[in-house]
Amino acid sequence: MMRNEDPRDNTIPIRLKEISVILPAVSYKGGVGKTTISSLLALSLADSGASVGLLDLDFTNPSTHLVLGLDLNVAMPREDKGILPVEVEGIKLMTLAFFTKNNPTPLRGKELNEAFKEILSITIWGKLDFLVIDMPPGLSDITLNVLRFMKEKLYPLVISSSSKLSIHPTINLIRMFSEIGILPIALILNEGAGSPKLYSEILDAYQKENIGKIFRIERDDRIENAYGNPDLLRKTTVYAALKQLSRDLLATFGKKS
Amino acid sequence: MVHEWALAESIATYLSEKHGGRAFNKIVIGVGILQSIDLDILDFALRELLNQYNVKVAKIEYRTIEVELKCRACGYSWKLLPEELGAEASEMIHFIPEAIHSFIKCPRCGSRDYEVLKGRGIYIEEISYDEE
Repeated sequence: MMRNEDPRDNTIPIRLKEISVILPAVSYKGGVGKTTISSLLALSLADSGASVGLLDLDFTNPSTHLVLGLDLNVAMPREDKGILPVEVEGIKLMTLAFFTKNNPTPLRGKELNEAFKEILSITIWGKLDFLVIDMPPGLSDITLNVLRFMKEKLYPLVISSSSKLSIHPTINLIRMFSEIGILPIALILNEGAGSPKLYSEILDAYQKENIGKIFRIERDDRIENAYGNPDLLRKTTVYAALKQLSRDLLATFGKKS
Repeated sequence: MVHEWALAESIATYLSEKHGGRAFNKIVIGVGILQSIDLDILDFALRELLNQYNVKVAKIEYRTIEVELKCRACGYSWKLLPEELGAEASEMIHFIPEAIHSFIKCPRCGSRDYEVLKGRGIYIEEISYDEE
């Protein structure tokens, strides 16, 4: 006889089975641009013809729907032997915001863990070339769950602001991934967060660490007005930089679905 | 088909993958009433899926569990009936029980920092089979 088993642990790998590549946007610090970068990367990949999902795991502050201009009063996942993500601009989006609406939702570790397992075990993604994830900052329950359940398909995009305070946490984050055999697919150095003047100095610091491919996102003041409007988002330098990253990702992994 | 199917699928895949090939005498499934699970639909989906996965279960029992919450800020404990939730909150919590923190506050101090002690969702409470 066995008692008190959580059957969701078995279902999550099944739900992720048809996803080829998982790209979590990670950083040790908040405010470096993960939400913007993950949303626009999903958009540029979808524009390139890839089948793309976007999962917002920043449960206490989900914002990808705001970047993409989705109205929570209208958008709601459909049920079909689970729940189907909402399609926006060719992206399959799943976010806790569909269920919490615009209310404050403070969650401790236990609740974060429960919400993670619930949303991952009932979301029907189907076949995807890429699942982009907007992650909460740091190494908390959600990040550890992503490592636990998605490790085999995981290619983190490490995001750094153009700030001296980002250097050591970012290097530490990359080292931690390396210790468990995960190599980030790219480091994205975001000039839009921090000071563009420090870009060269920070780039030097990362290049000394032999981190691999580094993408630069130049500051673009148009981004603030473009939030919520995919057509305007496509005209920003952020989108242009992520389009280049998309081309690299498609060249590396190809389209499978 | 509503999302009870996905919940049933979790149970069926768990029994198939973790205990593959066994014939079960009984499983008891705890069903917290917070999530407003439709037991008829859950039972229908589970029996269909157990057939598909070729998992034999002689008896399936469901045990409904009341919702008990405890405020972490002031220590107040209270029970919540699903009918006390509004229609929108009930629907959202049905999908993701943690959405309760978006809609319900501690009746004593107003905090949203409380724990659902009992009655959250579904889990396998008991599995019994003959030892070989």
